Amino acid sequence: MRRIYLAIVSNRQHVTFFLLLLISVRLLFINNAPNVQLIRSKAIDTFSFFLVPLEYYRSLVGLHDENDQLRNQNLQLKLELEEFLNLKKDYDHLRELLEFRKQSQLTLVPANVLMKGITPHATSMIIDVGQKDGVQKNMAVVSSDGVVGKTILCGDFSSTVQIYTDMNFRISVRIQPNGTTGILRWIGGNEAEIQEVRKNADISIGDRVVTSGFSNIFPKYLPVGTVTGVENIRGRYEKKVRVELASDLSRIADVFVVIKDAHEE
Amino acid sequence: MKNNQLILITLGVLALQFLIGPWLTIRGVRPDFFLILIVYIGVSNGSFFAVIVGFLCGLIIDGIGVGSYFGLSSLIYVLTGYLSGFLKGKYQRFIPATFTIIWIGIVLLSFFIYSFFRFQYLWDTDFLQFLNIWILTSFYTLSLMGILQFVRPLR
Repeated sequence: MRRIYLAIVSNRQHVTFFLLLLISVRLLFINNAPNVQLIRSKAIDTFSFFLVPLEYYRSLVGLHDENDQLRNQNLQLKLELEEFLNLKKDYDHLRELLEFRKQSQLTLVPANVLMKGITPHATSMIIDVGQKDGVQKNMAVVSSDGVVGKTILCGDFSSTVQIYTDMNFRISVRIQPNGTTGILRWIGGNEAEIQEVRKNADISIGDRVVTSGFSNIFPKYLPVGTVTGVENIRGRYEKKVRVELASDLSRIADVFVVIKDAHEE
Repeated sequence: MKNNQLILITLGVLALQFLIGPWLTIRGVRPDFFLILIVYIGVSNGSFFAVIVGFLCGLIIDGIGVGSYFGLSSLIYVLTGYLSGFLKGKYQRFIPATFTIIWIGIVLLSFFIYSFFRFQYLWDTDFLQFLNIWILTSFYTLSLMGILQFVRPLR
């Protein structure tokens, strides 16, 4: 026994290494275990407690710049007042969008982004709403531009969002106006790729990409991006479609969590 | 480094990663200050401390900052700490170039494992893009380590 003890002590760096390596590998395999999820949700709650004042300070610092920008914008708007009549067309279009929003009856919970992950590549973000606000796991998260991701962990006051840059994030999409469906995943920068698209589908650059509504997470017709390229794969019955994503994660500061879709009820 | 110093520096790096990391993000890639810390701890304090600090740092990062692959950061940092620990007290034995190449190799290996897990599909479908991501991510952190050599050389 004493020999074993001495052997462990004298090789403690190797023993510790193998032990912690095994634990790490084990953790990788039990990612979705309830206990792990619970610990992680408590961790983000605790962590966001420190982030909220920081975010408040950041927003205060940003207020001065924002104020300057708004003054500048206000001046420009006054000068451009005469042009407003010509913008009636745009106004009508916006009104259509608003009507769509009313029709879709999505219940949206606004949220501030507290942090965009800390790993070398951003794969998640923490937002300041949680179960107390009605947010639960696997709810769609969108910005005013389009889909951002989905909630994967929910604490009481904060949640972790798996954003589209995570390699394990997939979303079922529909290409408009054709209506062809496929599976979208991020490939780098602000670009994504749609796979499993029928080879005979008529898709053009500039076509809009929206959510298909096939999943239980994302309601249909949420904007995702715009088609930037179409590639036929030789020897396969599908084509690849490149998409420029609508939401720019580098600038995102506010998001909405889609709580429910009245169409589904 | 003493234990108190270790804890303080680790907390400092944690703050650095949270506060400065987002500002240094270029095209979605940010430097990994924790990896730098663990290489330094490994070289100055040996494998034992580096492995423990690496595991704990990895848990913190994964606990609050990843969408998937919880445990990956711990695994990478534990490995990095273990390997860099072999460089403890070896600076005098190796010529500086060899010593430098070894720690650069350790950092490259760490990022290779990271990229392999995170970008598995690129490994199969677009290997050049995979290499691009791996090299770009590694190079960013290595550049900072290079700058750090003028302030506090690894030895």
